[in-house]
Amino acid sequence: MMAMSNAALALLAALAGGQQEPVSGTVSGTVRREGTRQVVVGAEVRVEALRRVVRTDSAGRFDIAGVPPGSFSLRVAALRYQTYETTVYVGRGSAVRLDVELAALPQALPDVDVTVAQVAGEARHARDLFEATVLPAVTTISRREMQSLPTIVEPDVMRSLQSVPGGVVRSDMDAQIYVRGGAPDQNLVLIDGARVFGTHHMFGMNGAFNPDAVERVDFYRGGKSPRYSGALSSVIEMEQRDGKRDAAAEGGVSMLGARMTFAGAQDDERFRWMLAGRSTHIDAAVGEVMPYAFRDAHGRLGYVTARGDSLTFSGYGSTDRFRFGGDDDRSSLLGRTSNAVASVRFARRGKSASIASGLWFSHYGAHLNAARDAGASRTENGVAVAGWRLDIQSLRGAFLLRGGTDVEVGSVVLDGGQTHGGFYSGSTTDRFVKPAVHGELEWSAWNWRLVPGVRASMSTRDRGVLVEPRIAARRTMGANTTLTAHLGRSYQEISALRDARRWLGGPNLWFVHPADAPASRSDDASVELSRWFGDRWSANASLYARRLYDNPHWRPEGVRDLSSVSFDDGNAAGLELSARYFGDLLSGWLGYTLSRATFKRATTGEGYDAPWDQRHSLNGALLWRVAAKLHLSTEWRYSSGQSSWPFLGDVVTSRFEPFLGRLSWDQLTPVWSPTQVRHEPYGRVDVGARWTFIVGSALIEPYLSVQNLFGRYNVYGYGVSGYPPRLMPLPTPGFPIPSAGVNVRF
Amino acid sequence: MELQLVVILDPDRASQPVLVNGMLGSSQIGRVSAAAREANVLLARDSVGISRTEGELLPCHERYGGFIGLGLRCVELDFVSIGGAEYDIEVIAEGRPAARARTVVPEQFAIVSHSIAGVLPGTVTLNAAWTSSPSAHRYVVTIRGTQYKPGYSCRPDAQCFKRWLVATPDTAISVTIDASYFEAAVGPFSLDVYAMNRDLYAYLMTGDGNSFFPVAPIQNVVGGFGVVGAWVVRSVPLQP
Repeated sequence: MMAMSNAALALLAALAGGQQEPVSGTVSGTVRREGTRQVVVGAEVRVEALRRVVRTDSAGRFDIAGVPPGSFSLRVAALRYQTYETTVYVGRGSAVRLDVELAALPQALPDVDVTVAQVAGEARHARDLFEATVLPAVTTISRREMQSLPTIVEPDVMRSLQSVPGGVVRSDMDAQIYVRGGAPDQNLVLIDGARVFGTHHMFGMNGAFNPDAVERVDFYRGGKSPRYSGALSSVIEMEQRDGKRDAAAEGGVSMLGARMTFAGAQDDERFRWMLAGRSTHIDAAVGEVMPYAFRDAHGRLGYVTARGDSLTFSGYGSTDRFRFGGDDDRSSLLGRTSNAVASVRFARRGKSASIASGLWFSHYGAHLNAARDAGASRTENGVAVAGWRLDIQSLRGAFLLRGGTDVEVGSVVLDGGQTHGGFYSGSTTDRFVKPAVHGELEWSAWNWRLVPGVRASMSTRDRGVLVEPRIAARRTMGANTTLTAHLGRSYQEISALRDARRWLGGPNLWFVHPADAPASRSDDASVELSRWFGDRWSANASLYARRLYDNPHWRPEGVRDLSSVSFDDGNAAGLELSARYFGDLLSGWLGYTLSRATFKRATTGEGYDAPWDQRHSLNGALLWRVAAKLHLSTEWRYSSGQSSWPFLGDVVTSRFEPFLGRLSWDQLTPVWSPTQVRHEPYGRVDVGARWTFIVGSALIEPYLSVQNLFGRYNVYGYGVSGYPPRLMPLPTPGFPIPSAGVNVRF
Repeated sequence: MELQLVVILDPDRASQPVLVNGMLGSSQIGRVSAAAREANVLLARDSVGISRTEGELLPCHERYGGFIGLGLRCVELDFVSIGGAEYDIEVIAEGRPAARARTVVPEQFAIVSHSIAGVLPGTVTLNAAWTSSPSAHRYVVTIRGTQYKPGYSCRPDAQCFKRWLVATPDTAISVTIDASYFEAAVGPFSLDVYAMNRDLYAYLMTGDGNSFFPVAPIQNVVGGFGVVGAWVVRSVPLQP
């Protein structure tokens, strides 16, 4: 089961007579898989009495220096291996060599060791990401955290991003991300380097990604590298899961659907693969109530050479199908949306230089029939973009140069058939070629890192060259405290139409800003004070201010086309405080956000608050491993109510009836308040529990979650009455939403 | 809640009915008063009482067709509008914000020629010309019948009866009209030309309340909804 290969335990009793002061020694060695020469990378080697923890490097080696003379208990733990414990005796000034062989677990291992190793890995990645990027407000969420947070129906990548400090949640139903005053379409969502345009299922209620297939999400809210473009507010960079040597098969069944993931690798883990699929079944069970179905699939194939070069093929696809409101096609709202995303990436990393290149393709399609006569009201939206990029990085003394070039070729079609009755009634087709170059130079000296950079790209619509400069700086104060500042400018020329008055805007309908309209622009300033307390605690205080120019705002009246879009200027500012803890038993975060997002309508000069303007928000999450087989989690939020233009009701309106020469009073049209009202504070507590037990070679994990445990009102719990309109609680308050399911791992 | 107004000023009529409505399902609108002004000069004022009287809705019914809504009120303003003039219409109801709008009435015009090749309700070629109405935004040309065929229950907006009209800024038209537009039509038929001002044209030609994503028409009532517009209608028979 475990063994020490050679002189597993060496004791050098070099006692020097007459010495009064102890001379410290070292403990070093290599960790391998039992019975093989395969090294175990990232194994945790812990000397508890000394509070010393190190991890094995890429050669499986560890080295603990400064060990005082004495006898100590030493523990070696690694994911998917049985933990090894022994006692070492260290003499004065001695060097103890300890080679350990860990026994691979024969079956699905108890979750406890997995969790310990995962949490340590998450903390390490968070710290590495923080060190690698001179940017404020960078957050990372791991697969374990995504899977562990309380769920609504089933774990959700995008909802887990909502839970981080600074996230805005407009209602229990909405899984969209609103970042620092920006709209959801202003987030650049990437999966393995390829952009995804359809980021949600079910009109925005669920994220479009299978959490079992995503290794982690890095969430850049306070600025972005010049590598990225096309979105004003944030970058959501998803890295799909890599297979490991020990093949994994895991899945789950929830009230909504079922999902399955397979992942594995060759023994040396050079060749890795992953395949995941998810499908709803609720439509088959209660299709009359829930006539909605979606499927998504993830895949990844990677190869790493002996020298560390990597080649990765990735794919992602999804479809949504729905039919509401009638028994036949003529009286139904029919729709289908889909994503097809693929990428191939090559990376070579050297000691002082690295190069990465990739090709990607992303297609998003939305087909909506949105009136009683299906054939007369078809809305089509198609986005197809292919991209190529080359990124280089070179270290020369105190200077780190990052630069590259990329080009995007694509088309965007938004076609309502020029008929009334659909979601859209215009017709536009845009094709573009968008070459770009970018570069930034990082200079490090005297505890400072200064990173000026710029990106220059051709406009998609004859606006010349768009120049996006940025500068970032970080001052390190002591070992663990930093002050980071960022100034930057971003442009966005492809946006999504969303009726700003509706709580759920429906599927994204992307359009290229018309030639007579400007590109959206954001000038951002952000500063963040960060401190790490050991490897486990981090705390951040971040201030930001944004000036937003020409942000599309759609309140269709008369016709549902681009003529109803006003390109509005606005301001957003805020303060974000957060603390995060990566503990073996307990992990989580707590945050407070003070924010403001206001705009002025370009067409009328009317000032308004962004519908996601939440002035105060306190939120947090706690993941607690109560015992090896029991995990509890909770997420909570209390926010100022946001503003909205409430729906007042319908009026009967007329159409011109030419054959009879009179008006025909057969139309119901909605009336929205022209003035905004502010909702009551929004509060919610979600809880979740998971039990783990092993049956044969399977790890079974039933879970139960309750969203909105105390049944508080959310934005759907209010009606409008009186004039000027006032929000009134409806007789039926909010209600807890239970979710249950079971996960299985082999 | 705000009021919805529908007013189509017609210089060929001696009075101008003002249709006042509320939101669907809202309570009965109480006392309503309406006034018409030209250049701040009061032309007409009238009011209706707290409860609706028999016959109150008749003037609105005749001008604006059959409508639904329990809370409807109708006020008739006795004045003759004049082409090219600008009018302010204001409506005040108890407990509601005042609703007002301004509109310009198109000038009188006349159909000077028309001919039709073919036999209605078959495919026909229509030629027509009319004099100019300078304040008109569009001329809307239609062929009017008397009714749909008996038993025909499909609503025209549901695409089972094809609507035909032409909107043009010009004062002449030459167009072929397919027989399919008259499949459910009963004559005798007439040629109608409407000189619509911008407010009315925008209201009648936009919006869609017959879909899952309804969109309100373009409206010009301040403090409320609906339209205050104007038209001049000229008609000639196409069949004896």
